[in-house]
Amino acid sequence: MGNRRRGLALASGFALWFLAGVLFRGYLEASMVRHALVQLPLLAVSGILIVARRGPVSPHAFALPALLLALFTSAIWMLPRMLDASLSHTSAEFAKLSSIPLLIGIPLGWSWPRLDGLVRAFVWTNLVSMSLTLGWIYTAAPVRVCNFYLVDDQKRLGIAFLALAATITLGWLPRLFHGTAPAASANRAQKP
Amino acid sequence: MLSRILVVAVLAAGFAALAAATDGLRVVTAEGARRLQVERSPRRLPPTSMVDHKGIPFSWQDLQGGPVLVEFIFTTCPDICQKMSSDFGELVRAAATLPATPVRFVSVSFDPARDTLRQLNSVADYYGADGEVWRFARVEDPSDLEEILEAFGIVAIQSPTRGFEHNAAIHGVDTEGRLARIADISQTEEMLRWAIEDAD
Repeated sequence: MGNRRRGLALASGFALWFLAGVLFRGYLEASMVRHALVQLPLLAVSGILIVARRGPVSPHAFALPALLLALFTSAIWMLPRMLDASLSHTSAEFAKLSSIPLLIGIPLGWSWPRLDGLVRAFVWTNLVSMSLTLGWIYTAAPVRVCNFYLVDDQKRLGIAFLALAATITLGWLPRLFHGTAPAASANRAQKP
Repeated sequence: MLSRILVVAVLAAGFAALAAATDGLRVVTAEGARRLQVERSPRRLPPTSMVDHKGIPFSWQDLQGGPVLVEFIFTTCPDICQKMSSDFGELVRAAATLPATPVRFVSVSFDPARDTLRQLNSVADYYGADGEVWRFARVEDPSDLEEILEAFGIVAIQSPTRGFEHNAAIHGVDTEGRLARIADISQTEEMLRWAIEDAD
């Protein structure tokens, strides 16, 4: 049973990579919002699915370096010039399609359940502040940051980032009132 | 212990990769990278056949011997290109007051389908481009457009409301015919100063 589920996750990881990176590549890259907030995250999720496991895992000393690897690679792919490069240079497109699942998805998927709850909370809160900052920049910037996207597209991406920040914050609010740390509640759920 | 070494290694590699991807924290956009790149290593221009608004053919190599300031526009542009062209006109007049400046100016259209010679001619008339110091131009053969846009690093994309959106800038081609400097369209005076220094 476990093996079959494992195989299913693996297969859906590869299928997702093919859908986001090959089959719907043109459609996803035609808009800045779909490129930055649909294609890139789906490529990362494809890597996460490849290493996904159900059931409890114990903390691991290598989880922190693995998380850092994923965060640095994410930072590089958030640079506007990298979006442009992936559209104008085939080599950059290949780098994107391979590095996002391999250097973001896989290390993130493997390290996440093995990380301390505090570290995970740190990542979530930084994701909120980063989304707010990017949302503010993209809605307010008077210049285009990508040569291949219209200035209206950039504004829409800004709004999408603001929406993302709001969604993550709202998702966190209930936990705040329950008073249990996410790591603790996860551990409790895993006990029979 | 090993995990600590790994953390340090990932941090070092991560910062190095970020620095490389931003050319030492200087550029985050493709436009910034283009400007830095030509400044570091000036770029030779291809021998594309151009034609000016008077119908006289020329190539970038023909203009060699003096600095050339170049802008890319389309004449049906509702906003930014009009500003660019009138700023260019002011720059041409400012350059004319200086003693014996060999600086020339070219406004290149990236829309050869609509910017016919007749259209370019009437626009040149409107802005007072004489065809000697300042010329409006297009590629002679529209199939060469890609070559010249690629050489300069211009990306013009169709916009549903504005015709095109494009990376607007002033391009400096040096006396040796190489693209050597790119600046914001507001930096007209700096670019004129650059051209005059280059001519010396």
